[in-house]
Amino acid sequence: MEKLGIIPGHLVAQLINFFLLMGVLTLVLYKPVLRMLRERSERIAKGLAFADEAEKRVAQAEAEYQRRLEEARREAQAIIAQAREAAEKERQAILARAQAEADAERARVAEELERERQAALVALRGQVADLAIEAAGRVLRRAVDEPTHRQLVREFLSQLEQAS
Amino acid sequence: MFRKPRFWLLVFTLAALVFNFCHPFDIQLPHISLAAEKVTAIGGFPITNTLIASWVTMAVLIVVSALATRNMREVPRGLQNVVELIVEKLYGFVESIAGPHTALIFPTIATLFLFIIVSNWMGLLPGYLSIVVEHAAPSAHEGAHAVEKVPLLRSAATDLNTTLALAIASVLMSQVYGVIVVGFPQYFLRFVSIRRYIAFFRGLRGRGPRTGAGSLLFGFIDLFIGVLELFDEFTKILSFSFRLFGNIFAGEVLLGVMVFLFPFVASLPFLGLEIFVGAVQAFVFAVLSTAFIAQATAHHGAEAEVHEEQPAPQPHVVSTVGQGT
Repeated sequence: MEKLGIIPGHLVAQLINFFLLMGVLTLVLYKPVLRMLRERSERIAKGLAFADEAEKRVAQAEAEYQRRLEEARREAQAIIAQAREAAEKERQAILARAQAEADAERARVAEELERERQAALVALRGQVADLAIEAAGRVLRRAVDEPTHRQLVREFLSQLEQAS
Repeated sequence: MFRKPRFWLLVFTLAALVFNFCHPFDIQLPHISLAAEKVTAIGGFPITNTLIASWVTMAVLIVVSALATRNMREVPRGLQNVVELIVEKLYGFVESIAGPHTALIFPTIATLFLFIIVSNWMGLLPGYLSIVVEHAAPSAHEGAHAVEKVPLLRSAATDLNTTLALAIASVLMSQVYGVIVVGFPQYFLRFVSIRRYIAFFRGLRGRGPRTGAGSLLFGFIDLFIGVLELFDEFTKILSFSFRLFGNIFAGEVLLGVMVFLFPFVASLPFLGLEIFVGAVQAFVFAVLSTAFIAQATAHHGAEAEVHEEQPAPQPHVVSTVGQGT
């Protein structure tokens, strides 16, 4: 043992050294580093899971958005078609009504014209009769000769012209 | 050509090689001593150069670890990165051998590995063996005034005290972990294998299944194997300590001789070799320790559970032949 240099005191000292080193390294090296590694791997796992979740959600939102967009488009188309149809119907109605009104107006105007013409005819006929009677009376009240007659007629006509 | 650094490096190397044969320095063959040299003594306790080197190694390990983990960051930088890499690789390695008990045994294995590799590599640094202090040698023959020149530092593993201590620590911890994992009396049944006798006498008293008389013979074999197991633990200590000591000590002697023969450049390849050897020895020590501890914690634990959980209804002898080896 002496030749090999083994001294019990040194052996014990080195044993103590080893366990001391083990204790200190456990405190300052293994525990903190392993804890850090574990925490980091946990965090990374969590981050990855979160990213997955987020991706899924984005995809869902995208699908939802597309769906709504499609729906809105269809609705808009429907609304436009409906509006067009309504407008067409309205146009037809307006046209029909205008036509009817125009027809009615024309009929009314024609009737009025006819009535006025008739009234005018009646009035004219009355006046002509009156004038004839008056003219005849005047002719009959005076002895009338040819020139007087002509005179009378001329007067009458001028009166007539004045009167009309 | 004259401006290329490579050219000048070549010239310098060749000059140094030639310089090996005609240099003015007086380089001596180092004094080779198995025992570590005593540098000083504190209160009668001799302090050897290997002990000092051990302390230096410990100090380096502790200071670097403390610096690296002083304020740890989620995003590692610099030293923390290196230390994390080392610890992570070591842990994964131990896990690949020891499996579920890794968290328990990791400090032992890692400390063995780190201490041995750092000590071996530091032992190759300039200054080790070359810085000498004068020490008044207590020479019995010529009076007390003989002065001895003693290297201040010498690689820790070139002292059997160190390697024996490491080996004892390793084997001791494997017993401790065995007891922790397997349980107190069960673990030591490994060395005093009387399970078969217990089963036999239980069977005789009608408390368990009867086992044949042949189990007495197998029980005797078990006892013998138990003694071998016990012997094996001491063999482990010896093989651990002498393997490490032998390799590192031989490396140191080899380097000393090479420096004596070819002081310049030519001894460099051997330095590289010793770097390799130092790492390999640390690795071997750690691997074997892990394997032995894994053996002590896993193998017998499983067997003990089997014995306890199944009060074997079938003939016990046949089912347990070959176990306990």
